[in-house]
Amino acid sequence: MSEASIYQETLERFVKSEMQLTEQTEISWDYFQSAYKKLAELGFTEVIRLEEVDKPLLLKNMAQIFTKSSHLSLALAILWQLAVNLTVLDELEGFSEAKDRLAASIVKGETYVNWPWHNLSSGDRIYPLSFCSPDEKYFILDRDEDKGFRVFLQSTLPEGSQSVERFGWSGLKEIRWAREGEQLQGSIYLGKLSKQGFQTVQDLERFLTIACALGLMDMTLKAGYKFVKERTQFGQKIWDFQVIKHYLADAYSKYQAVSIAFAELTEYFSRGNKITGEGKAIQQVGFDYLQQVTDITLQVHGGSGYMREYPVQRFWRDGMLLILYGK
Amino acid sequence: MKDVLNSYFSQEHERLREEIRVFVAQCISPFINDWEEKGCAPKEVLREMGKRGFLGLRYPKEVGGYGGDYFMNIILMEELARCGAGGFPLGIAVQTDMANPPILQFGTPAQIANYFTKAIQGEKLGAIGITEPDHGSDVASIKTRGVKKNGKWVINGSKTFITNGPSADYIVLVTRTNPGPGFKGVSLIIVDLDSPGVTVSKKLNKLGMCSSDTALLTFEDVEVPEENLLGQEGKGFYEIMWELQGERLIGAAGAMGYAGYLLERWDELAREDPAWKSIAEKAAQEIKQLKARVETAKLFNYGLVKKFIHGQYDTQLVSIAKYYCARLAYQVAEQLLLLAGPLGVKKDNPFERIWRDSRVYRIGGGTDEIMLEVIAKDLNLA
Ligand SMILES: Cc1cc2nc3c(=O)[nH]c(=O)nc-3n(C[C@H](O)[C@H](O)[C@H](O)COP(=O)(O)OP(=O)(O)OC[C@H]3O[C@@H](n4cnc5c(N)ncnc54)[C@H](O)[C@@H]3O)c2cc1C
Repeated sequence: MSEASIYQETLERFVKSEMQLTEQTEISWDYFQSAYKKLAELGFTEVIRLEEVDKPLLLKNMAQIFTKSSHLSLALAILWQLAVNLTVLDELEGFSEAKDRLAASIVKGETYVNWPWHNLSSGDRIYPLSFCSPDEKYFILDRDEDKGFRVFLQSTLPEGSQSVERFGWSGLKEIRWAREGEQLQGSIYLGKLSKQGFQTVQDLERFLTIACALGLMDMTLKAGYKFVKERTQFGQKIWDFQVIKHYLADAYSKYQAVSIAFAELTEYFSRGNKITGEGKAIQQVGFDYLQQVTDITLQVHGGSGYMREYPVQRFWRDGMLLILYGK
Repeated sequence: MKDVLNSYFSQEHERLREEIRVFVAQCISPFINDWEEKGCAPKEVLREMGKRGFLGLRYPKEVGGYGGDYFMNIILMEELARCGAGGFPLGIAVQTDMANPPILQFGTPAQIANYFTKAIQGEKLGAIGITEPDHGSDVASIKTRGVKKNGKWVINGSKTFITNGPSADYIVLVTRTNPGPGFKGVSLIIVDLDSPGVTVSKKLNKLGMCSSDTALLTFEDVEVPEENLLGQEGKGFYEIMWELQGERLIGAAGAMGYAGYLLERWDELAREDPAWKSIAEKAAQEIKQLKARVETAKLFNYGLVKKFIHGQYDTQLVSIAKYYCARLAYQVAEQLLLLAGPLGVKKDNPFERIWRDSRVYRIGGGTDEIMLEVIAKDLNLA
């Protein structure tokens, strides 16, 4: 058994025993912290920094395990801490004690830093993965994308920042504020992120969103299979209606196509290649199919699909938010 | 296309449109977020709408209606859409076009006076009870039992996903009054929901349509006067199939009301907000295509309404309208939300809310798949 598969199995077991959430589970700051700290204590957060580890494969597996076994919000929060933030810090040029301290504290689960996802060229700073805890911190990138960015760590929210409630990703909110006239006090300079380094981070983010999309598709398909095998109408299992079979076969084919393409992309990524163009293409297809697959699995549930007690509606909402932010 | 669409409406229609528009702007839109949060609207709104005649627009004056035509109903649905939420208008549509038309069509004078007239005047709220936990699409197999005993119906069973269920005064209940299987033993019975033995077992928490309340209702040895049988004993299946035609037609009109409203909001935002403007410019072709589809669908609906006014019911065409408009409304909402990107993430912005709300059109009142079954069957190719 390879090291990667032992690791994957242990992680899967951990997620199954510690992170099995019901529809009613509220993802909160405390919940996140305790889950993340347990992961850290068991050494899962450390592995990502080891030289010899196949990072893309590990992240692909982690993303899929987290997404499949729990709420997407929790998966996103963990992945963006562990994968994106640490990659940002690795990509910063030059040595800085502040940067190393921050990386160590992220690994231990002592610091939560928000990474701006979107619209670097727009007037707002947008942080979609915030628990709105006063303990959270924020990466600030100054505006010169062409020459690379100067990256700072900001510990307090500036005046005028807003928290935005959304239709999905339970427990998380978006924090945004206008860059125009912002007054950032007490921010710490961490280092320079080159244009290339920024692209590396973006490639990774795209990679993770595809992995999460696949995790969601897998979850929603399983919910769909379960329902159609149990539900009876007109004296037969609804699975036995040809249209339902075709819907799910079509959805499954789309899932498989992206899944296998993504596994190939992961291998290519693991060999040290850049995946900007390929990632964009697979993400586009993956998001398209995510929408279709979550939609069809909701549809086969009939009225139950519209009720909050069934998870398919959550996959449908969470998937749409992933698409809106991730594209 | 605007001119041809407008040609269906007289000056009187337009006056009514203006009146409803003002009512929506003053009495609904400012409160809709609150109602979405609370899961329903206060009953005073219903009473006020009843007083103004909005709940009985297409019904004759002799039974307390406004004395107008079906196009007035279309106006009501199109204007209610401007409140930016589907839930409250859904509750109203159940009142105007689902629970009560069978009472007018099949009811006795006493039932009409006691339920129908009071409903359209906003004094009573109705619900329609078809779906059961185990029987949704397969209406003919419903199990809720009504047994005649000592001059009363004794009812046992449960109905789920019932719009207005938690707050309605009565329900038009699809009941099995003959134990045999299939559609022959089905009858409609009006049940007062304050009768002993009726329980709101669960208020249902939904993905959308949040300003309408929905429930699982349980009936345990509920005694109902014999005269509450609606229409003919054993003919309930036909009667409810008749009801479903009206439900589907108004569903199609409502769906296009929302699609039209969203496209209008899109244009407004593109005029007011530079961030939307730049998106709208890039997506101009797409938007144009959506508008053309919505206008075509409206024209199709208006054509059906014309037939409906002349007493012509074409099950296949009504099913096409329901199927086509439900899918189109959802497509419009989804496409606009995708175009909006991160501008659309905020909960309860009209694009995301109607995206959630419009999803139900493809399920309620007959799913897409059932509509396709009806349409295909009526092609009569066998
Ligand atoms: C918000 C909301 C409000 C509602 N309000 C009311 C109300 O006021 N009163 C009321 O009575 N009901 C109401 N309903 C119920 C609604 O009409 C039903 O949900 C709908 O008819 C589908 O039934 P079901 O949910 O049992 O799904 P099912 O019938 O179990 O269907 C599950 C899936 O199987 C498919 N399927 C079923 N049969 C076939 C077939 N023969 N061929 C192919 N595919 C098939 C369906 O299309 C669907 O995809 C409401 C529903 C919702 C969501």
